[in-house]
Amino acid sequence: MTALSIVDALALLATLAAALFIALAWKNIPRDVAVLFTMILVVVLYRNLSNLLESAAITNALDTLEDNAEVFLPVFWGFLLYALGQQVDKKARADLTASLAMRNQELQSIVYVASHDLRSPLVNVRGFSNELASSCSQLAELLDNPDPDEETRTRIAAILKEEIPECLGFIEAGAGSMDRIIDGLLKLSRAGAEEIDIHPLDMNHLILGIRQALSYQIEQKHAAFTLGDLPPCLGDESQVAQLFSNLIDNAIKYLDNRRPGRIAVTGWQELDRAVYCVTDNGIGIAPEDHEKVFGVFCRLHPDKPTPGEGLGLNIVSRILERHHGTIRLESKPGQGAAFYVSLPRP
Amino acid sequence: MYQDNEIIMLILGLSVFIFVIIRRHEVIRIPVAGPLMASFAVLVAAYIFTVLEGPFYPRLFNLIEHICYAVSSILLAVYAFIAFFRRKGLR
Repeated sequence: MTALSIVDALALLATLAAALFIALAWKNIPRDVAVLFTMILVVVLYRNLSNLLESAAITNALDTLEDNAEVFLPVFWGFLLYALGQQVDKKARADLTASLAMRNQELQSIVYVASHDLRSPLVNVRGFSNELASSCSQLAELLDNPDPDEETRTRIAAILKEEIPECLGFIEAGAGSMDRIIDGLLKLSRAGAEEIDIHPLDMNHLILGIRQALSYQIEQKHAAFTLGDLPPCLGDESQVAQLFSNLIDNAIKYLDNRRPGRIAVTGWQELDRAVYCVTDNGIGIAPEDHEKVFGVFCRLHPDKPTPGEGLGLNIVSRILERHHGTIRLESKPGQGAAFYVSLPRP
Repeated sequence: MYQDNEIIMLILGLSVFIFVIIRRHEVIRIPVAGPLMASFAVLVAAYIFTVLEGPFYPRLFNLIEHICYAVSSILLAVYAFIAFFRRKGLR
């Protein structure tokens, strides 16, 4: 065996391996790419076989046909690269269409929910504005009397001290509620539109900063906060901070007042991902609500005085979407919740 | 000396290579473009050595030409493994 025949044998084996891989994945390869790739492999296979037979001094009978077939190889390569480029464009177009459809659906749901949620405080504001107008006209009538009797004075006092402040209180509350909804919508739009600067993040440092910022709320709830050793991840610092701030803030808000609160943030590496887990022993979430909590303006306990617009987890999922991350929730009522966040790692 | 088909192969190979260089921004978006492009570049290099082996150092350039073919085939196999087999196709 000469050095040349070893090289040619190696080339032949590599080509056979390529042919085997393409044969095994045949049904998953677009037809034009598969055909062009096969044409290239046939020519290469023939050339390598011809070279091997010649270098091993067996025969050079395949030489003429090899020379003729080889001429087409660069042309096949050109077509193959063009076809692969077309596939990339096709996939990019499909991804863009899917993303636009998703955004459109999301926008529709935001408009629907926002208009629905804005309507109820608006109805309150309009109703109490009418009440206020009626109280004012009653007051004007009563004040027309230059010499009011005792009953009139009591009525004027009732209007001034009770009815008008009550109406103003409800109007103020309605306006506050609308302000919070608009503020939430603004946050939502920022989470999806701000420029992001992706770089490796020291998650231990980042979560420690969030813990310090939320220390007042944690102490108020007498909760214990545990922080494990977290692996680094790739992300935009301010957005990833907002993501974990929302998760930890939620964990604090929904702690169970009947037992000492415990919140823990842990993390580990899984192949090319960094996985973080934010757990609490709070009131938990029923399995049927697991998807709902990531919706816009979703509040599972609107009757409870917990502050917030019901946007925290929606913002979390938007941030993760922009970072090619994922989130998974494990929770049962009364047994706390665990949010598993996965982000690309450096 | 060299043969006509070797010159035609070189011209066609270089034409496609220039086309790839001009449209490199689109080509690099192809999944697993590295081994594929390297395989093609090494193939074009083999065509150059095929022509060179005629007038200069026939034994040396012939060996280099065959090494280039082998490397090109190995890179093609690597591409086929990563792009088609490990990723379960391009779809």
